[in-house]
Amino acid sequence: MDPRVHGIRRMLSGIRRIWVVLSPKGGVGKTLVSVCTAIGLAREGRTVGLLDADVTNPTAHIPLGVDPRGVELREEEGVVPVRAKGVLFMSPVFFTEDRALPLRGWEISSILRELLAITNWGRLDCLVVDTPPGLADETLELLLLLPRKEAILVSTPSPMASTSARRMEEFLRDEGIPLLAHIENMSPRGIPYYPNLDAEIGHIEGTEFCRKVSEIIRSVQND
Amino acid sequence: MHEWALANAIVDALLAHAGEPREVKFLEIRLGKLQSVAPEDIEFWLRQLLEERGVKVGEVKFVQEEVVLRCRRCGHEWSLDPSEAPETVREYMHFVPEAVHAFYRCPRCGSHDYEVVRGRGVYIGKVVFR
Ligand SMILES: Nc1ncnc2c1ncn2[C@@H]1O[C@H](COP(=O)(O)OP(=O)(O)OP(=O)(O)O)[C@@H](O)[C@H]1O
Ligand SMILES: [Mg+2]
Ligand SMILES: [Zn+2]
Repeated sequence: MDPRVHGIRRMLSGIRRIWVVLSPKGGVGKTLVSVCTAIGLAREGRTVGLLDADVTNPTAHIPLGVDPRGVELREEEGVVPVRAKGVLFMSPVFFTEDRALPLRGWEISSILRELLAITNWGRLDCLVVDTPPGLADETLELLLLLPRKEAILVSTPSPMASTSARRMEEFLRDEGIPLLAHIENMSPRGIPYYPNLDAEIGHIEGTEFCRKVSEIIRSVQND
Repeated sequence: MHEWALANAIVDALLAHAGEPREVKFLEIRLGKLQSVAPEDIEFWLRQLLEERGVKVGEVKFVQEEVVLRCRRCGHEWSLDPSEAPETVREYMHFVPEAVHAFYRCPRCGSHDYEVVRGRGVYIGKVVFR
């Protein structure tokens, strides 16, 4: 019997909405969309958390401006997330000194269970979860463990990406997971391509990209 | 303390499993050494949390499990003692035992690709309700 599954329910019980940011393809902008969604909500005065669930390759701390080596985690009925740009943030990078963390199958489920079972989010209006690409261990485990979840799907306009996105939409429908938004990134139909975005990662909250993400999320969140 | 969260998870699991037990007569908790959890801390919270929920607690027994790692590349099996690790690394593994893969390699072939066969963390060994 794995007690963490029960612990997770308790630790997530103060969270009103959980938004999982997904994409079948890599490099389409999930992490930036996750971070900007969280920052946008925080600016509206919501209490918001961000979990980096890309456990073997966490990067959300970079646009959030958190240096993992400078973080000292506080313990209080669990482990308290770190505050950055108005967002409560937890990442596996806090436990690895930013080294590579090679994990397989069950270990991926296990580290996600541990993080969810020990992080004390307190009361949140929303928890945003950044995930790795595809429909493999991390994503399936999260969809299994997280209650009240809604998906934010990110894709790009290429024919391959849109085919994979359609498959992902079908999968979500079959699993009964509501699709909050399907964001087409680097596209005239969704979020445009901003050639200088990489130079502005450190102050992402000030970018047109971030403003655009917040605007899309505001239009769909019905809250 | 994050032991509070670990103990609460055990309590929630026990109560979900048994409905509304009046007493936990005997409880065996297994502690994998990789997580370096102090039995006294877990026992303190287990007793307090169970009693708060109206459940009497009898004997609580702790069994420490040695760490066994097995390399997926060369098959070598070995152990490691977190009490000999640098304090920061011990602390990372205390929160998230999987962090072991970031800091240790197979002593025979140097690979990070190994399995934690035993001794990872906290779980329920045996329980007797009344
Ligand atoms: N609208 C955009 N305009 C310009 N560049 C963008 C845009 N969206 C994302 N990028 C760039 O694409 C790269 C990947 O973004 P990001 O890391 O958010 O993608 P991801 O989907 O999280 O990747 P992974 O699948 O590896 O986790 C970044 O370097 C980012 O600057
Ligand atoms: Mg990413
Ligand atoms: Zn080896």
